[in-house]
Amino acid sequence: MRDAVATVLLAAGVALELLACAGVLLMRAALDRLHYVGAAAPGALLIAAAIVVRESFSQIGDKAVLLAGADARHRARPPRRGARVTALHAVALAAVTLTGTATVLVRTPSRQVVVAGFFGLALAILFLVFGAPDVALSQIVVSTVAVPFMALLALTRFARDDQEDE
Amino acid sequence: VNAWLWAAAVLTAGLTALVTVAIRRPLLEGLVALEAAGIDAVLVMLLIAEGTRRQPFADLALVLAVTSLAGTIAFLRFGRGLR
Repeated sequence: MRDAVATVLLAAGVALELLACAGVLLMRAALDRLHYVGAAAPGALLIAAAIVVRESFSQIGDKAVLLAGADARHRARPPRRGARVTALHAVALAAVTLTGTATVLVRTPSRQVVVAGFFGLALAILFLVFGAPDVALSQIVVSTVAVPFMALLALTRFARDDQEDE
Repeated sequence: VNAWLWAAAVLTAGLTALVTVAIRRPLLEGLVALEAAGIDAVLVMLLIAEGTRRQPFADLALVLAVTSLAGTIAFLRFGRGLR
C-alpha cells in the first residue's frame, strides 16, 4: 500500500518536473520561462512526499523535505560488485556527451560559462550514478561555484581592459 | 532497476533537453534554464540515493541545492556587461 502511494506520488512529481522542463524549453521570453521554474517546486514537493511515504521520517526523508521546502534507518546496502549498465547509466553518459559537445561548440565565452554549468551538473550525476559520491561532491562545488566565479571575473577584466585600450 | 532510478533517468533526459535553451536563446534565458536544470539535478541525486538505498548520497543533493544559486549570483554580479 505504502509503495503504491509512493509510486503514484513519484510519477506525479516526475510529470510535474517534466512539465516545468517543457515550459522552460517552449516559452519565448526569460520571465515566461522563469514562471515554469516555479512550477518545479511543487514537483519537488511531490517527490519528497513520495520518499517520506516510503521511508517515513528517516534521515533521507527529512533531507527530502528540507530540499523541497527548501535521520536514517541505517540500512544502506553495500554496493553490488560488477553491476550491469542500466538505462540510468546510459542516459547519464548521453547527457555528459551532449552537454560536453555543446560546451565545445558554443563560441561565445559568456554563453560557454552557462553551457559549462549544464556540463558540470551532468558530470556530477554521472559520477554519482557510477558510485563515486566524493568525486561528485567536488564536481558540484567546482562547477557551481568555482568555475562561474573565476570565468566571469576573467571575462569582465578582459572587457574592461579592452575598453581602456580604446 | 526500480521506479526511482527510472524517474532519475527521465529527469536526467529532461536536464539534457534544457541545454538547447542555453545554446540557442539569449544569455538571460540560458541562465533561467540553468536554474531549472539545477533543481532537476538535485531531484535526480535524491532519486538515485533513494533508488540505490544509499542514504548518504542524499547529502550531495543537499549540497547542490545550496550551491546551485552561486553561479547565477556570479552572473548577476559580474556578468552585467556580457552578452
